[in-house]
Amino acid sequence: MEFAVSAKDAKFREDVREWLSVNVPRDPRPPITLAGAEQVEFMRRWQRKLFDGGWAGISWPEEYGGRGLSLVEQVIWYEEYARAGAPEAGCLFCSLQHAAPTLIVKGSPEQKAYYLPRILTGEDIWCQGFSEPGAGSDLANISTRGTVECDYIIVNGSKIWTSFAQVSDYQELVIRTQPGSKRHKGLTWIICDMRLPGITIRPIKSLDGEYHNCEVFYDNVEIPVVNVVGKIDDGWSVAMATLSFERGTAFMETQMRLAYTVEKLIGLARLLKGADGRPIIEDGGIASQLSRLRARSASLKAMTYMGASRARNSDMPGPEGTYIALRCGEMKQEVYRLAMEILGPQGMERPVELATQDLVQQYLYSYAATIGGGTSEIRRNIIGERLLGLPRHG
Amino acid sequence: MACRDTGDDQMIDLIPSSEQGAIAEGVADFLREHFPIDRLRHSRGTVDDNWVDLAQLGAFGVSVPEESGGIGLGVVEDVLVFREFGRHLVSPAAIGTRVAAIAAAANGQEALCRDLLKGRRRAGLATPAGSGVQLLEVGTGDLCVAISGEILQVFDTDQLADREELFALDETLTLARGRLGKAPLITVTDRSLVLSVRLLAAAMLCGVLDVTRDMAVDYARTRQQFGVPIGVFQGIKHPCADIALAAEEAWSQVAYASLMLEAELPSAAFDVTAAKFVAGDNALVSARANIQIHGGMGFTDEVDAQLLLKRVHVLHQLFDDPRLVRQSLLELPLEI
Repeated sequence: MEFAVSAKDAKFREDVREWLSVNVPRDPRPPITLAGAEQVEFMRRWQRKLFDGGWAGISWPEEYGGRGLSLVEQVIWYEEYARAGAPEAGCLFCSLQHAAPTLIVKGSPEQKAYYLPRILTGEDIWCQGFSEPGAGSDLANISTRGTVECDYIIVNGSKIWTSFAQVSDYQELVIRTQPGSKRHKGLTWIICDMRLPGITIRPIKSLDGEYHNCEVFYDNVEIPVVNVVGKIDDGWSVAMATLSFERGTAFMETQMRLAYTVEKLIGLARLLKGADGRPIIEDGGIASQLSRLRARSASLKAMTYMGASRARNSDMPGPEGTYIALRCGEMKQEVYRLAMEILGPQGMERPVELATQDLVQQYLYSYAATIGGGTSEIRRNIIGERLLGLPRHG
Repeated sequence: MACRDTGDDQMIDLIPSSEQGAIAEGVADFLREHFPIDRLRHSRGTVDDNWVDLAQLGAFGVSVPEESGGIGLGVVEDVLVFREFGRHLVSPAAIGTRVAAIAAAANGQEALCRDLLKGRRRAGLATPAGSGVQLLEVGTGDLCVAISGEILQVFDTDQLADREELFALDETLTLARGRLGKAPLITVTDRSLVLSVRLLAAAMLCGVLDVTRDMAVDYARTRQQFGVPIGVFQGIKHPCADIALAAEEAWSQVAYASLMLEAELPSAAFDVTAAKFVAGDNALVSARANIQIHGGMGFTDEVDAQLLLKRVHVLHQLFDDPRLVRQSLLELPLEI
């Protein structure tokens, strides 16, 4: 256990802070709408700016155009990024946080050479294609099938909960290529061009009014075999590489944002008055919840450091990342639930145009935090079974 | 010192180094042999027979300067040792003894310091209650440590008045009411030292949390109902996962706060207070869940789950009323 400071890192933080203060867009990131064009344009512009400034792919190895920053520098970056109120990844989340790390670990030299630079500049947008109507929490129950014919794989079936499919160029598609195979076996991870004939996309309206998810249908879609990442029928190990990334480092920024949101709520509770004319903060119940969340967001940060400390000795984040994911999701809901209590009648009002910076919007969106990317229930199963060694069902 | 300038890399490492791990492991080995939790089923409210041996091991002097007979390390190493204490429900007098030794050394009372480190004297704890104090683990001939603001005072037995023996919620500990005299043996004003006392209570809570988790998981794995281990059912599995998360969260914060305190950062007060609150809250919720997981047996005096619950209440309440701690959490400055 050690806390070491260096002039070099203080300088790094200063550089990051200065660059962000000049470059972070003043406007908030637009919501994801049915067509999604506004957010795409906004995020592409921002990613290009990051790229030009040398801040794209901070965690990527330098050979792929990244910065190859140390874990500590990444932590500093995320801290400053959240502090500056820079845009959350949105439609670029999948390409930057899933696709690229997967390609770096499992992709062929040709795939890396083509896709990675385009991801880095924000040119290409990616979406995930794992979940299906019959394969949600039970992810291995995939039935969308791919038949290998010469140099192509013919895909038929459907995917659901695909975020940003309506604006994506490529998809990380997992299909069953071995007929009759069960569970984790016989799956293939393939790069699907979303403009191919036979693909139909149906955006799904979420309870917050945005279009976070889509259903995607595949009718004899012909994908070149060279797009397979890893080996045919070995897609599960590729998918797992991606998912373990999702459960690890990706939460650093979320956790920082939560800490800021709690501070913001404390400020709001001091400012706003209830119908009785007294500042909300004077309500013992509210004050008690705010102090609790303030302590909890500190311990969430400490958990992130604990995860980073463990990761220092390993290439991939361990299953302990599930602790952070679980805590993050549930805490997000607690924080925004409290925001609604502080807002009181104001929480019944919404802007005419959807706005991502709106607390009510964030409150509604927080319902996804314990479902998307693995429900809290599945996360508790993972902790119980993989970390504690409790028996599996059946 | 755990705070240094490496010249190339800033880092916060929450994993014990091999030297730190070896210190904790040395204490853990001794405790496993001489302080099994089930010792408390039969010896209620008496001093552990092996207290002197534990002291001889150097366990109370980890952060006492070497010239005063200690090991000369810091609070970071202390929290590792006190987590082990927590795992074996060692008396909270360990906190009093450690801090009294430090205060004695700082005050030039070397003989007293050595008596404490060698186990010849013990120091219990005083917590304000009503118009006087509650005396926890202050037995005959024991010293007593009291905290108020940034002031830490050590009282000798004859400086306590109106002593009245009580029956403790945690029957494995002694409790009395009394009044502190006006002339303490030692008075030290030291913010960091006072914070370290709270942090060590939090570290002990982390130890209790670890035992709570292991006990719950063990039972979920072995107890059979409907022909399967009950851990198969999510109604049991998920509370086990929550206890594990609670333990991870609390320890992460305690470890982090120990580094901030060691480095004497301005935000240390917040981090330590948060550590005490989170560890106490998590330990309480988890102790309850562990009893529930044990079903009918959990309600009995025959299973150790109840010992954990009662000890958690004591440690959570130690030095500050959790209600007041919560209030201060909102006021303390914090760096994000």
